[in-house]
Amino acid sequence: MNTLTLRFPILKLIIAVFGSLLISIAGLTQITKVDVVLTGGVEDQALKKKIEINLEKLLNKINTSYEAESQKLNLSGNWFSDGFSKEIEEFWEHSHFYCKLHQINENVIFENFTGYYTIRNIPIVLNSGDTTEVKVSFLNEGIIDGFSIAIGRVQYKNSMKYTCTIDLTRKEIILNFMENMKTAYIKKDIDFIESIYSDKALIIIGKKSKIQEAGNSGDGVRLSLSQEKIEYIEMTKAEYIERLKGVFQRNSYINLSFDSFQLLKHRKYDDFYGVTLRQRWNTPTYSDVGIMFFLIQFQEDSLPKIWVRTWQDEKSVKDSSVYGFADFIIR
Amino acid sequence: MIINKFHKITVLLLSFLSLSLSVLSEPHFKSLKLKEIYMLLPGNICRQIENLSSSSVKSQIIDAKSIIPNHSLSIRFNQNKQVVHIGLHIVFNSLEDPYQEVYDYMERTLLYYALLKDKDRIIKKMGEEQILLKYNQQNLPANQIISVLSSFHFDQDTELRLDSNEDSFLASWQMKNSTFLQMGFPNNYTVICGRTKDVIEREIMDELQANAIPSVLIGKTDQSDLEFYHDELYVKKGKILLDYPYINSDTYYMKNKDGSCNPVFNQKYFKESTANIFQNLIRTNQKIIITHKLYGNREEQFTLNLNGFLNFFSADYHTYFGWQRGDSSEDLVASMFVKNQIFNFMHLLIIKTNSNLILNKNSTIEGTLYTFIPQNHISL
Repeated sequence: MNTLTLRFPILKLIIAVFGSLLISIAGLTQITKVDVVLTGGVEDQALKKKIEINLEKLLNKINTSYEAESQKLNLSGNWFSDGFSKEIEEFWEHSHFYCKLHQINENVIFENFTGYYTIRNIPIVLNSGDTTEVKVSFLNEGIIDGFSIAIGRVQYKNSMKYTCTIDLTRKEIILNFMENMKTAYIKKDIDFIESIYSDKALIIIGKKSKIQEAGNSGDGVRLSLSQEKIEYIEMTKAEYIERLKGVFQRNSYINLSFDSFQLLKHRKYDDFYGVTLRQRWNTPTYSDVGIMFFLIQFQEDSLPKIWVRTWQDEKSVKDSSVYGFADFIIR
Repeated sequence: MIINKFHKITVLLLSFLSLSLSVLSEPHFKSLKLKEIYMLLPGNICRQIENLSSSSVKSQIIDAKSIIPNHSLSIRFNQNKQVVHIGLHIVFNSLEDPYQEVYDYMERTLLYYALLKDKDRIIKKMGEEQILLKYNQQNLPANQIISVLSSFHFDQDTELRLDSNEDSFLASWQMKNSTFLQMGFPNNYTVICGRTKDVIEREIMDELQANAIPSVLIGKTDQSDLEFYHDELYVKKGKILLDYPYINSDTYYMKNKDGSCNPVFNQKYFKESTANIFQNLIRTNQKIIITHKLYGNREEQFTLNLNGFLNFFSADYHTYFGWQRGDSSEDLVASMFVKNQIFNFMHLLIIKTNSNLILNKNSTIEGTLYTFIPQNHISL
């Protein structure tokens, strides 16, 4: 994790400086072939090779189409999804562009939240002369499934302005909903809590407990060691609500707070949003800090609905194993 | 025997009466947190607060040496004689200060710790509210809070500095003897004000209806602030919300022949005119029926003068405007994001209208309002 946080700003800086040189040269030189060399992030060598080949295919197809001033990209083959083809053609229709690097040296990042392998920071030059960076997303088999452009860098579509506002409005409504949900736990408002979960919701709760183990210090003195044990339980909505009623009864107060929010829209299902956050749960006799994932359905005329609620212990869960979109199938 | 029975009944009646009187005289509190603090106060201070609550006093400083040496309590009441603040008197400022709620929180919290006394309970509460106390750059242990505070003398000359960002506040006191006390805490409005979202939603609804006084922003627009937009239009660039360039506080102008400029307001430029309305640049008689979405899937409707509604947010907020649908003048949907400048929360108003309605200065438009949406530590 440290390597990533240190490495990315440096990489971006190099690309920005190198990129600005290329912009001035691009008008004078021909657009050339792009090679992709992945520097890490995926252990499966076959998958790594496939991602390299497919990204090369895409970027070279884009560059040759740009040079030929083609009206359409006309991608063919089975190295990309139908959705991706439609998405990139739509973009191409609005603005032609090309990749300005001869070689892409990037890490693959697996986004557990979305379930995609992604390559970021791919610099492109638009017809208008604007430069920006794109992110390409791959399915498990290395098939290209997504292409997204850095928001705020380029104004590539008129409809973008509407999409932005709709997106932020919905996200704010979901954040409002999350705050109301937090309030409901503090107020022990079981009726409201019951109303916000789908009857078919999948709920994973966890509980920390301490187990005492006898140990030996080595010099004959017996020690009593205390170890934390995390127990995870999968529940239906009815089971969860019943358990929660007991928690509310047993505790004079419930105090919880949320932070480190991450809120994303599902790539395929427009009305579904994923929220990960850190929850601090405090009662007079029990406290824990957990990483939570909520799969929430946005509904235009009624309250959002929770379909998935998971809790994982903050200390023991690794970033890559935090629940996300990829762990749940929406049918 | 009869006399004895009579005596017992009299005693019982008197006890009941005194119990009733004591219940009757207990003050009303603006929040449960204040009531919790009141319940922890020594009896003599409770009685002083009870007396004050039945008088017309608005604020009072009372001695608190029975809780913590060398200190006073600051107590305030609202017009309904509700107790709105009880805290250690450590901040000396004008009540008009925009950071008043932050200072109240600091005073209330330190008093609460002083009253808890028990080290473990203080540690637990500090953890729950993520409060950091430092004394001369070192973490202040829970069992030393009272002794350190006792050694401090807070007065008008005590230097207090308050730093803040979107996620936290940090208060630093520099004493004359060069000692240094710091208190850090999250920028979380419901914790700072001590009331839950359902309560503050209802409060803002009442305040809007009482204090939404119509007024528009009349400021001289310097031509040098304007950039050419298109056709006859010029734009005064405002701020952008987060990373969303299309959600902004831009305003739009047309130049007059004499070189002066006016905010645009006409059908031809209905989108820019609408943006100007929601930046409160256009004086209008319009009304807005607001459907306020409240906690618990409840909603309430109320009607306000549009300029009054927008003016209510002019002092402590920054307004951003963006279109959800704007291609057809018959079907317009827009969002207004109203971000508080001190606390990290936002209000959201969604407007569904058409250009004839929105540009008619005597019309009534409709909007859906969500209030107090926290923005702390969010990646969107």
